[in-house]
Amino acid sequence: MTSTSLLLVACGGNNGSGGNSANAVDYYSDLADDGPIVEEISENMEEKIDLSINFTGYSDGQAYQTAASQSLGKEDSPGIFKWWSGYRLNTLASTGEIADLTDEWEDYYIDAGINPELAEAFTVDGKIYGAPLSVLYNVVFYNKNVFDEYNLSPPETFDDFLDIAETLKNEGVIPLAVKNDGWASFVWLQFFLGAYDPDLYTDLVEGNVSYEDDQVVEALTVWQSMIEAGYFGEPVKSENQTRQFAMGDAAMAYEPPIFIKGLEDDYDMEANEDYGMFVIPSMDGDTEPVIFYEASPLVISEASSQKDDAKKVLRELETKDSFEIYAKESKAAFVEGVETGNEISDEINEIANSDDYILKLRYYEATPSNIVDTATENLWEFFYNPSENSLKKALANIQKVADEEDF
Amino acid sequence: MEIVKSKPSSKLSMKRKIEKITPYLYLVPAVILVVIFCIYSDFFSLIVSFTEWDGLNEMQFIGFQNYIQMFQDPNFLLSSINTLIWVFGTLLIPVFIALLFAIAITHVKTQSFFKIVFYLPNALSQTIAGIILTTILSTYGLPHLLGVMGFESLAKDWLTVPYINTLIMVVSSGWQGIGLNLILFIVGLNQIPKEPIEAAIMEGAKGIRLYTKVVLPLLKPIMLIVLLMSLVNSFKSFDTIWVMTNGGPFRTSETLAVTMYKEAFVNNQLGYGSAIAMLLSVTVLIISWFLLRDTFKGEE
Repeated sequence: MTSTSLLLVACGGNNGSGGNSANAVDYYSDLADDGPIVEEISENMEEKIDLSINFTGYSDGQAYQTAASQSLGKEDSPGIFKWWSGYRLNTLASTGEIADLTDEWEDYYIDAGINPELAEAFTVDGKIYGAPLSVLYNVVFYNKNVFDEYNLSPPETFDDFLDIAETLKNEGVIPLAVKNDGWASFVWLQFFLGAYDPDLYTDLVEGNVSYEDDQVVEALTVWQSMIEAGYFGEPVKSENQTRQFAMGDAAMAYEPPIFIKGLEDDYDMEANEDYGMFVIPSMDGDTEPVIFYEASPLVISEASSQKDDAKKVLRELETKDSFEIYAKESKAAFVEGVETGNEISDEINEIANSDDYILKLRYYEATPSNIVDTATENLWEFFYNPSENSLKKALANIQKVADEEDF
Repeated sequence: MEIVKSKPSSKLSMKRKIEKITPYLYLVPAVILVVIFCIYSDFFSLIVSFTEWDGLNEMQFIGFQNYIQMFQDPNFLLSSINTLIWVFGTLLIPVFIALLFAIAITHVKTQSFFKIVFYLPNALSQTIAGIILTTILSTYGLPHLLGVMGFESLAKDWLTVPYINTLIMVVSSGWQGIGLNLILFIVGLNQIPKEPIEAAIMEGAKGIRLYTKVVLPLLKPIMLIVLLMSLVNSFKSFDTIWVMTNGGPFRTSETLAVTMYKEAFVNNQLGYGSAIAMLLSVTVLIISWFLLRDTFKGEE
């Protein structure tokens, strides 16, 4: 049954856009919506280097990971894959099936304006295995109309944030919208740990601190008290979370800038008119606020017959011209000087690149995937049944898996 | 003379041989597909089930460890209970209710109309039906309407409520399953010879007694087919759950098929996922054998 599924998954995927010429390089991604963007980039590229991109997008991330993993290591495997950074990249790099791009960074990407610090997220044992496709910074979006109606403004301190939530709840508005994606519970773990103590977060994801540590419990008890106080909405489907926010049923959402696309395309909301954003202040008021980011790399299949062409294509993708196209369509940018055309998104990019905030890799990539899988399930269980005991039980279960991991 | 005699006999024997082989030749394409997609896959899954394998690195042989882990895993136990709820729900809605409707419909003149009405949902794929129902049942669908009508406690996304969502999905899936079973039951009821029924009526049988003692025993062959199809489908329940809840929240609505997929392809534990797949396959085979053995005996 599983092997048949493997076979069928490998046959799956939607043939998207891109060139059909003999010099096309195959590009697999779980971001199916990127098809038109890649097509536009491919058309520009074809004129310059006589190579195009044949894009295949998967709408199911899990099916994509399986298909991509299974096709690596073969000569006919696609040249370029979208992947994840951190531990998920480590796992792939350890198989030796993706190409070392260290020289490409030194010879091309940095000269093209890519921040060399980003290479750290794609480095395994001193070698760089990925080229950045996107870096998404998580911030709190707020509905300006709702905030204006109740005379609220973005919080300066964590206590302000709690006061805002209390006011909204008393007015019958959901303070924080929550989406029910299976993986999405971990964002709240990083949210509260980052606000409590950024170093504690780092120690936790690197295995230097136990999930049952008193400080971890204390940080997440704030989450528990906020759930119990009714500051979180019931978890809903992602599209309903956007709708709750747009309709003013919920006032805030903790999301990356791609959240903006739904607000603008589906609800005609305008940046700084209808919605704004802020970074959650630290709990102690002294520590710089933390912005968590998700860095997605593109990797090249080592065994693929397209490997050399894929490197040439990647050099073209890692340019400001290509990122301009990507940023305008996705409403998210991370390269200095590249603008999305959206004031809020550009502001997020600007503050994330400033020295006023601490940047941390998000939990999903920052810690081993076995721990992430266990954590997401247990944190959801805690979210639905918040109590001191359920929190301790969730943390004990996560630690049990963490104890078996080799960090 | 001998030569003349031997020619037609060898031709005849050749013809007989060809006649004997021909039916098997027709089976070859199907057999090839079954071997590739079922036998080979099952054999491969069996091997993988004794290993630890993430799909990327080398397989590590670990004996029965995956099977032992299965019975210690609370997720597996919960998904087994959910699978049993699906099996029970499948017997209740798509089989029992379909049978009741079929009996009722055979007594009305507008059989065709009701057949179409009840069969229509079956024309939708489970995935599409799941998406439609998810939209209807989501926060801004039917629950919102109920909230506006004053039932505020009902204004929530019921598919995110643990355990309740399983019941909702069983009913949703059952609604789709009624159509085909209903048609099969109607066909079966219409094929029952009238004589034994008339004889039973003349001897005083009527109402529920007539159905339990005469009609249903005569409907047994069709009932076995419907039961088998429904049971196998209920053990395989995946599409509806994957689309409507993804097995969540916190894995509370998973069935064995969903757990198998999640362990194998989400958690990258292909060995453990294969062990669940083997258990599921063996369970379905045993149930199928119990249901079909009488049918095969009858044919022999």
